[in-house]
Amino acid sequence: MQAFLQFLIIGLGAGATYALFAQGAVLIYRGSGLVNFAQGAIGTLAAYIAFVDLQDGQGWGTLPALVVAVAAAGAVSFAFQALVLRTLRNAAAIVRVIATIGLLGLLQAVVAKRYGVANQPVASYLPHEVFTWGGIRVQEERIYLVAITVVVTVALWAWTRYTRVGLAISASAQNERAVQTLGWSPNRLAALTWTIGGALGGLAAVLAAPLTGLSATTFTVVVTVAGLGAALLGGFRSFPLTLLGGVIIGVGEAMATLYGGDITSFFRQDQISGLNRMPAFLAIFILVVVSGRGLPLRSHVSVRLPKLGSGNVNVRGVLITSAIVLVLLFGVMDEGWAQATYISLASAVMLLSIVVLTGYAGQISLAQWALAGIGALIAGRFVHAGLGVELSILLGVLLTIPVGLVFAIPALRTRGVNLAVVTLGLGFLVSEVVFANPTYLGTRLDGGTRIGRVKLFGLRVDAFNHPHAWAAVSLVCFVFLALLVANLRRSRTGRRLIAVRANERAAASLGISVFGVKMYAFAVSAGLAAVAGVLVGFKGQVIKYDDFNVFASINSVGLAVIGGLGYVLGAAFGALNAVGGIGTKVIVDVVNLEDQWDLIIGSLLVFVILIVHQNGIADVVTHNRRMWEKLRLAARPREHPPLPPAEVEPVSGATLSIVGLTVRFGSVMAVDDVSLEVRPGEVVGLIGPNGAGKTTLIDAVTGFVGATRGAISLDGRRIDRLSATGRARLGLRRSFQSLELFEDVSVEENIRAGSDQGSSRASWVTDLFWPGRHALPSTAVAAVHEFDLERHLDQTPEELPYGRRRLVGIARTVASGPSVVLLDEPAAGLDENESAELARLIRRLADERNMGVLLVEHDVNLVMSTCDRVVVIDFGAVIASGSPAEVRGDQTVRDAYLGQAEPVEQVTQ
Amino acid sequence: MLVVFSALGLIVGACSSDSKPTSSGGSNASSAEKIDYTAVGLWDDGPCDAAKPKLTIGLMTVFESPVLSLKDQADALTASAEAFNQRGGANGSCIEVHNCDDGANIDQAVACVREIDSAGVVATVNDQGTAGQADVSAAMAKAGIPRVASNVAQDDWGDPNAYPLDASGTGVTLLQPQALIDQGAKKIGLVRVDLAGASALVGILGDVYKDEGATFPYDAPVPAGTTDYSQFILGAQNAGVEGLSLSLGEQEAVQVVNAGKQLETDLKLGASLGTFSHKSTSDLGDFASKMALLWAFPPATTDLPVYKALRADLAASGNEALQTENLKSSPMQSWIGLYALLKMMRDAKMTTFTRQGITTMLQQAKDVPMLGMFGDENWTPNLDHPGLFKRAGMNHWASYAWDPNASANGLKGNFVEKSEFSFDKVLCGSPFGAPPPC
Repeated sequence: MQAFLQFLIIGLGAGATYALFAQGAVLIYRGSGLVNFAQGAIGTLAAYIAFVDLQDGQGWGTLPALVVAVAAAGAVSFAFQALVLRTLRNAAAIVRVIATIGLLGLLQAVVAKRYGVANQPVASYLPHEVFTWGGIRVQEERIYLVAITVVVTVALWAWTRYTRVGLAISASAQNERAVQTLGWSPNRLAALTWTIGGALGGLAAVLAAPLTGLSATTFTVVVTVAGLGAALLGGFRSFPLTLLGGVIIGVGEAMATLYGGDITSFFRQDQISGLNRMPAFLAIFILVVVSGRGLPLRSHVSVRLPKLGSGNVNVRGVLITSAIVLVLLFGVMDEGWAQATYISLASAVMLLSIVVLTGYAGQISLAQWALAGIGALIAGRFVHAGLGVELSILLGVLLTIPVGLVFAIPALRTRGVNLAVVTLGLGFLVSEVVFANPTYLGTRLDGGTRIGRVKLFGLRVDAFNHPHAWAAVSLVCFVFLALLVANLRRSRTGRRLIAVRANERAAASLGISVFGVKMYAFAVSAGLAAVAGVLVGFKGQVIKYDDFNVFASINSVGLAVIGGLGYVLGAAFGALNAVGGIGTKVIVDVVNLEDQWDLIIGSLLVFVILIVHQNGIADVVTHNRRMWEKLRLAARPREHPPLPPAEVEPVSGATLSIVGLTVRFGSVMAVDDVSLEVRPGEVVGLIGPNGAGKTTLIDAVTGFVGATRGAISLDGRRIDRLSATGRARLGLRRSFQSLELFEDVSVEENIRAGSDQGSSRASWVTDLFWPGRHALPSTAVAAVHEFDLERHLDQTPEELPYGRRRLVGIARTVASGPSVVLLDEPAAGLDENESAELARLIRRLADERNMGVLLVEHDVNLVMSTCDRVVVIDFGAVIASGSPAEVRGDQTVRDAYLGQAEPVEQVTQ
Repeated sequence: MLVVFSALGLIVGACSSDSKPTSSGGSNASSAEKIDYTAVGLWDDGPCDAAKPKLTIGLMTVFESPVLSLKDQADALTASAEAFNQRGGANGSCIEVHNCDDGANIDQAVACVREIDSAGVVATVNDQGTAGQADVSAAMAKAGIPRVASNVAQDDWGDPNAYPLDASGTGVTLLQPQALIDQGAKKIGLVRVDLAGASALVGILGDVYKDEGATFPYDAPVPAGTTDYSQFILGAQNAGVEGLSLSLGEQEAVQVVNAGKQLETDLKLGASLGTFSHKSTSDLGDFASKMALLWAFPPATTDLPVYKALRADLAASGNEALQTENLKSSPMQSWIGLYALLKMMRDAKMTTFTRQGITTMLQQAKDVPMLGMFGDENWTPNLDHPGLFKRAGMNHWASYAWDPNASANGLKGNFVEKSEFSFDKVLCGSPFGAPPPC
C-alpha cells in the first residue's frame, strides 16, 4: 500500500505536468478550433529563456525570469497568431494545423541552433524539500505542481464559464459570425487565447524543466504523447476533464512502472516495452471508439480540405521526367546527391499514402511512419528468415494492410482532430511497444532486423554501396505508385473516397459505404506507407526503427500539404523538403548553410507556401500549366464530350411505408408515432413548424438516426435495421436542407458519385490499375438534362449560383434513379421563379419517372401545388393528413402552422 | 542480445558536454606546469614540419543530440593533434584532423564515411559511430581505413579493421555491476535506456554475476518524455535493491542521480566516468559518496605522470569541456588513442602515411607502452579476446569512489580507486567469455 501511495503521488505530479501543458492547448482549441502542435516547442523556448538566458546568462532571480519567460511564450504565440494564422483565417483547418507544425519545426530548430540539442539538467523553481509522510517520501515540488495545475484549471474553467469574454471565446470557435454580430472580434479573441495558451505552455515548461531536464525536444514529446491525450479525454473543451485526463495518464504510467514486473511476468514475457504508456493510451483509444459515431450528426461541420487535382496523367511527361532524373542520377550526381534523391523519393512514396488517405478520403492519420515501420519490419523478418527479398517486400506490403485496417478502427467512429490525436497515440504505441521490443524485431543481437545487403532480381542495389541504384529503385517505385494513385483519383472508387472526404452524410445518402471507404483508404495508404518503409528500412544491412516515429509522421503530413495534399504531383514537390532530401542538400551544399539552417529555412518555407498558396505547390504548378504544356509534360484537361440525349425511363417503383415511427433523444420526443406512406409516382408533402421533427423523420427513415420504435419498409421489405448506405442502395435517397454538396469536385463528379452504382467489389482493386472511362448512366444523363446542368458539368458547385447548387443537390439525389426520394427543403433560398421551376421538376420525377417523393418544405405554395397528399406534423406527431385542399382547410393545421390568413392561392400545376 | 552492449555501450560510455571556448585558455590546474615529456614517457621534437606530407586522421561521431553529445571527443582529437604537432607531430609530419558529425543518423553516418574517405583520412582515432554501425564498419573496411582506439559496438566486435583500446561504453554496461559489487551492493537494479534489446541486459548480467551471488531484481526502462525520474529511485528501493546500475545517456543518468540525491537514497549508484567529470561529481556534494564510477583508465584528475601532458594538451585548447575539472573519459580517449598511434609510428619510423601501411603497422605492433594508464597493461592492437567480444582492447578496468577530502591539481575532492578487474576474468565462464579456467 505504501508503494502504491508513493507511486500515486509520482503519477499525480507527472499527470499535473501533462495537464498543465494540455490546458494551454485546450484553451487555444476552444478559441480557434486548432490543435496547437507547437505548444511544447513554445514552452521549450520559454524554459531556455528562463534558465539559460536570464538566470545563467543575466543572473536574474527566479521570479522575474519566470515572468519574462512566460511573457515571451505568450508573445511568440501571439505573433504566430497575428502573422500567420490571421492570414490563414479562411484556409482549410488542416492548413492551419500544418502551420502549427511549421512553428514547431521552426522553434525546435531555433532552440537547437541557439542553445544546442544536448539535454541540460536545471534547478527547480519550486521549493523542493522532501518530507516523509506515513513512510512515503513526498517531494514538495510535486505538490506545488499539482496545486498550480488545479488553480490554473479552476481559473480557466471559471473564466470561460462565467465571464463574457470567456463565453465569447468558446462561441467564437463554433460560429465566428454569430460572435461578430455580438460585437466581438474573432481575431482579437483568437489572439487572446493564443497569447494565454502560449503563456501557459511557457509556465508549464519552466515548472516542468527541473523534472525533465532542458532539451529541444522533450516538451514536444510530453505534449504530443501525453498532453494531447489528456486534452482528448477532455474533448478539447473541458478543462476539468483535461486535468482528469492528465492525471489518469500520469498515474497510469506510474502504476505501470510499479507493477511492470508483475505484468510482464503475468504475460510470460521477457519484456513488454512501452508498458507504462500502454494502459492510458488503450483507455483513450477505447473511449474514443466507444463514444464516437459511425456517421456525424446533422450539426457536424465538415472540415474543408485543400483542393484536389484531377488525377490526369500525361504519360509522355512522366516518361521524359523520369528519364531526365535517371540521366542526372547516373550521369551527374555524386553519391551524396544520389542519397538525397533516394531520401526524397522514399518520402514521396510516403506522401502518396497521405494523398490517398487525407487528400482523397479526408482521414487524418499521424501514424503513417509507424505503418511504414511495420511494413519494413514484416518484410525484414521474411528476409531474415531466408525468403527472397522481392517476395518478402511483397508480403511486407500486403501484410501491412491488415495493420492499416486496425488503424482505421478509430476512423470509423471519429474524425478530424480526435482522429488525428488517436492515430498519433497509436503511432507512438507502435514505436514504444513494437519497435522497442527486440523480440519482435529479430535477433537480439542487432537491435533491429538484419537483412544483409539488398539485392533485387540479382542486382546489387543496397543504398550504402549503390546509392544510385537504390535511388533508381526508389524512382521506379514512386512513379509506379504515383500512377496508381492518379488512377485512383479518376476512378469510381476515387469518387467514393472524395465523397466521404467532402461529406460523410451525403456520401452515405448516395449509397456509398463510409465504413468501406475509410477501411479502403487506410488499407491502400498502409500499403503505400509500407513501400516507403521498405525504401527507408532496407537501406542498410540492419533495419533500424528510429526513423519510424510519430514526429516523422507529423512532418510528413506537413510536407504533403506543402506539396499539395490533393495532388499526386504534390507528393513529389513536398518530398523535396524532406529532412536529408534534395532540399537539405541544396541548402547545405549549394547555399552552404549548415547547423540547423536547413530546418529553419524548411520551416519558414512552410509558412511562405501556406500563406502564398494554401493548396500547395502542385496547385500552383497546375494552374500555371502553360509552360508545362509547351514542354508537353502536363496532361491537358479533358474536353467534356456532349452528353447523349437520354431516354427518360420510369424507375421500378417501390412504396415507402412508415408505421408508428418514433424517435426519442433522451427525454425529448422528436418523432412521435408517425405513420405515412409514399407510393410510386406520388409526391407526399411533409410540413410543420420549425422543430416539428420533419428532418429528424427523414434522418430516421434514411438511417441517419436510429428509430426508437416503429417500422420502415420499402416495397414490403423491412429496412429499419439497414444502415443509411444500405437503404440508399435499395433505392431510398435523400437530399439535405443544407445541400451537403461535394464542393471540391465538379458538378459532373457530384452527379457521378450519386450514380456510380453496380461496380463490383473487384473495382476497389482494379480501379487502381484500370480506372476506365465510364459514361454517365442514362439515369444520370437524364437528371443532368432534367435539371439543365450540362453547361455546368465542369464547374465546381461553389462556382454556381445558389439556385443552381440546389438543383445539383437534387440531381445528385435522383441520378441513380432511386425508387423513393426524400427532399429536405429543396426550395430553401430560391426565388419565386426558381421555386416554380423546382415544383415542375419534382412533379416530373413522380409523373414521368415513377418515383415516390417525400417533400419536406416550408414553401406552402410549392407544397400545395406539387403534392398529391400532405402530412402535417407538430411536436413530432401527425396532426393532419390528406389532400392539399383538405389540409389547407384543417383548423388544427391552421392553428399550428398555416396561421389564420387566407389560404394561399393555389399555383396551377 | 549483444545489442545491449552496442546500443547501451554507445550511450553509457559516451560523455556529453558543451564545447564553449573559455577565455581562460586553460586549466588552473596544469597549464602552467612545466612538463618533462621524456620523463612521462612522451617526446618533444619541436614543432612539426609543414613541408612534409601530412598525417590526416579523422573521427566521426554524433556531435550533439538529445541522447548523446560527443563533440568534446572530436574537439579533444583536434586539441591533441595541435599539441602533438608542437612536439614533432608524426615523425616530423604535421597531423591534420578531419572530424565528421554523423548526427546519430544512418544516412549522415554513411555520408561521413564518404567524406572521411574523400578527405584522404588514413586512420580514424576514437571514432564512435552512433547509427548504422554495420554499414559504417563495412564501409570503413572497404575503404581500408583502420579505426584506431575506436569505440567498438556490436557490429565491430569481430571487425579486424577495428583496433580499440578498451571495451569503452560496452565495457561500462557489462562491468558496472562489478563496481557496485566491489562497493558492497549485491542486489542490483538496472535503470536503462528504452531501446530494443536492452531488456535482455538484466538476464545477461544475471548470468555473468551469478557466481558472485549478485541478483538483479529491478529492471526499469526510461522512455522518451519521462517527467519524473524519482520513480526509478523509489521503484528500486521498493524492490529492495542495494545498488542501481545506470545504463543511460548522460542527461538521464544525471536526472536519476539528482532524484536520488533529492530523495537522500541509500542506494549505491553505478555510473560511468564517461558521464561524470570531477566537477559534475563534486557538484553532487555529500551525495557523491554514493557513486560507484567506472572506466578502463583513471579519471583525468588522477596523479599519473603522463596525465600531466594529457591535461595540459587538452586544456590548452581553451575549450571549457576539455579543462581538467570537466574532462570525461571519452575526450581523454582521443588523446590516448592519438598518443598510441603516434608511438607506434615513432617506433616503426613511419614517414609515409598510407591506410595500408598503418593497417600493417597496427597488425604488427605489440605491447605499445600505455604509461600506467591501464594499470600495468600495455597495448597489442591486433589481439583478439576469447569469447564474443573479440576486439575488446585491453583488459584493465577499475572502479572509483568519491573522496570529498582528497584533492588533486588544486581541485577539492577526488576519485579514489576502489578496485581493479579484468574484462576477460569478469566474463570468464559466462556465455560471453572464455570457458574456465581463464
